[in-house]
Amino acid sequence: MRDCLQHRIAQRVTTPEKFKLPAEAPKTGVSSDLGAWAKLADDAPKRAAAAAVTWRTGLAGFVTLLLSVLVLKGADVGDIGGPYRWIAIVSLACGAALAIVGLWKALSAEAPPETTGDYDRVIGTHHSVAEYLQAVAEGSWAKLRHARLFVGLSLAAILVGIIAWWAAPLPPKQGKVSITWQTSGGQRTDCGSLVAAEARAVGLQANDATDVVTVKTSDIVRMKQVAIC
Amino acid sequence: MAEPLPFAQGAEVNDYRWTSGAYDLMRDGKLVVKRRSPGHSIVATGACPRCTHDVDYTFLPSISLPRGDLKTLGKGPKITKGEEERPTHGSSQEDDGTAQYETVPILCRCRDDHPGRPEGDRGCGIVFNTELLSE
Repeated sequence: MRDCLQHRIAQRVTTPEKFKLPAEAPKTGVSSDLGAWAKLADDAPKRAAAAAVTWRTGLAGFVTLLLSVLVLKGADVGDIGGPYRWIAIVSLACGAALAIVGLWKALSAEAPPETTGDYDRVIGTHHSVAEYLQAVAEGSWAKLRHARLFVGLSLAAILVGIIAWWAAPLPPKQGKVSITWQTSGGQRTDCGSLVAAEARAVGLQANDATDVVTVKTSDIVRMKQVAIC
Repeated sequence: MAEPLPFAQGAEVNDYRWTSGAYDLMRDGKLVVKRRSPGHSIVATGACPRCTHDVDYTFLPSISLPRGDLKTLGKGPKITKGEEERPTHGSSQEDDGTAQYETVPILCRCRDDHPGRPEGDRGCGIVFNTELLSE
């Protein structure tokens, strides 16, 4: 009994106090630093939402512009030939898809989906609601980082598509012909679009003329296809 | 009805009497300062040594911060717990060579009125130190 009491007394003596009197007061400036820190913490969800709104607005404009250009000019990609055509089509389509995914991520960062929450679970995981709100802000920033990644990949894909489009060899112009033919005064050369070709005559519309020049096939000295007149 | 105390200014803000007063209040159980778990929030509830209102203070050691030191195409404001500088916390002292104590400054963030307080702010304007046993 006596030994047990002595043991308990010894345990009480050696157990340190949970707190003690500090030797000094906080330094000057600690108050304003902690106040500013608390304000930073309070404003974190608002800052994340504001950044997400900016990104969402910019990305929505970018996606709208990109899709408009693709709708209006996309059919022209079909004119280019060879592997360039498929490189351009696949790159531009991927670029548009990645930009849309980036926009989606920015939207979800701006307005995180609501769900039914359990207080005990939130406290168990984050230790306090204040820390949970920080985690929500961190989540929004993570989604914005993903949005930026997708936008970066989208821009790269669009760049590849544009380069493939520009680098593709132009298809030969069709219908432009240069005809040298015999007239009563000598030889004459006309160049333009071939609008008719019969057994006895051909019709040629020169670039600078509205009337069609009809040339008998028997008078043709030379006829060749040209890219430009 | 007593006039509310004005918002603390100058040397009164961090006067040592608030630190010693807070220790007395903690000893009497009228002020409680707790760390929820290591590395997590510090919560202070109970009487303020100056205005006696509930200090209602929560300190988050790690928060989502705007980072100004990164380039536009650099990483975004990534938050790593414990990476950010903690303004005043973390100074540990040994007691008898075994127990470690951590100095934790506490702000009064009471919601009662104190004339002269900046718009949108809380508290009576004081800050005091507590020294908690490290976990």
